[in-house]
Amino acid sequence: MSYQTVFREAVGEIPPTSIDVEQVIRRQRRRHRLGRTGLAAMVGAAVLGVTVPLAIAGGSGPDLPASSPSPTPSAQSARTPRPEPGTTFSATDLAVFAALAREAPDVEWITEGWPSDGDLVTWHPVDSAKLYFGQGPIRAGDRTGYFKLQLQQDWDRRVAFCIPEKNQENGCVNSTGPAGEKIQTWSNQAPITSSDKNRMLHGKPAAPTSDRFSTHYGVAVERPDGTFLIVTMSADGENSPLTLAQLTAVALNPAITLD
Amino acid sequence: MNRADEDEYRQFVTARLEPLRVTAYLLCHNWHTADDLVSITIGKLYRHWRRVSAIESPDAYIRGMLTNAWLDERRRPWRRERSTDDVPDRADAEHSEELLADREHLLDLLSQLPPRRRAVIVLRFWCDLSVEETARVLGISTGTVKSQAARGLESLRLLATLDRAGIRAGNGEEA
Repeated sequence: MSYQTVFREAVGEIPPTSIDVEQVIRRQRRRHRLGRTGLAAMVGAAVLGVTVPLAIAGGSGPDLPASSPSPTPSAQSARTPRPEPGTTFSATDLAVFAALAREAPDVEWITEGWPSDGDLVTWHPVDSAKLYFGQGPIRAGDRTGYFKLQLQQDWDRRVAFCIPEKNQENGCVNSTGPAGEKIQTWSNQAPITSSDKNRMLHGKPAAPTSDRFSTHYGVAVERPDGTFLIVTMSADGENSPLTLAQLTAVALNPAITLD
Repeated sequence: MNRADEDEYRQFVTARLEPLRVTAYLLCHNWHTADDLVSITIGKLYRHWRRVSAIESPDAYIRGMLTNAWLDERRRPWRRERSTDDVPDRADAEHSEELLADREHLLDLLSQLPPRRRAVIVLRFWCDLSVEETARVLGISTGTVKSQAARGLESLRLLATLDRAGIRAGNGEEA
């Protein structure tokens, strides 16, 4: 047995990640912007230091309007997510949306009002010949959650999401699909430990007052041609907008391919 | 970073997120800390993406960034772990391979190694980096990598032996 196999089996089930790559990118962009504007702000402050006392000395200015309260977020939804400004959806994007609409006709994409400090409601896929990744919030009635789909030509086979022999209690199941696909499904629930502020920063709604846990479903499908597709759904409490069966059906949709 | 660079970065990171999380977990043995370390690492990677993407082996480089992020984090007072360089000098070499394969204990045993030795073991035997790559990312000599790897494996075997002996003694079995 190789060391890698020993390590991999020792690690066991990999829990859902709290890392949001888009959030990391936004934070770094903001940091870069602040770095650039910092100098300008210092210059501006120095200028104000001279001009404000002069203005005060010249008399009182007009009254400033009171700041308006923040708009109350109200989630708006549509049959497709919002594309990035100036872009159109690719064939893979449309195949994902169609698969979701077919398997879960009541599901809609949240296009506005999802609590976040960025553009999490915008469908911004990574799309190349080797990898596709897209994510966005969805709703079915009053149930909301976050949907992610990743399709890859190659996969690091050292990474398994769960090991059925060890993790039966977490719904870790291996099966075979109708076209010979190797399917692995898992589901688990984790207590909500983040503060509401941190959850907002990660684009999640305020934690529910009851059912303080989140539910995660995942399906990984290795197709006979070697491509690998992973679909996950995260929601608070047990009110996921998609069932594991619906998620599996989306993952098995053969129309979702790399462009 | 322009749009093309950012897309390339996004693609690179997305494809490696899970292997990086596992590497971080092997180092710190805690999934929350592992996610923190990977977030720190990919944030740094964003800032240095042009330079990193131009080098020959960005995978080795990012694993080095991750390992160094973990070594830095460990120095923070609230994250300090206790580990020991000294392994008791009793061994049951006859059963050591079998015991090392007792995977339930491997992570516990790994966490008992001194940090830099643990890093060498993870980079060499999980990430499959060469001796030279491991030396480069950790900023140590190839000779040190070889000796740390050998000592690390030996320590794992010894700890596994002692651990098993302790279990037997606890169960009232004959060792």
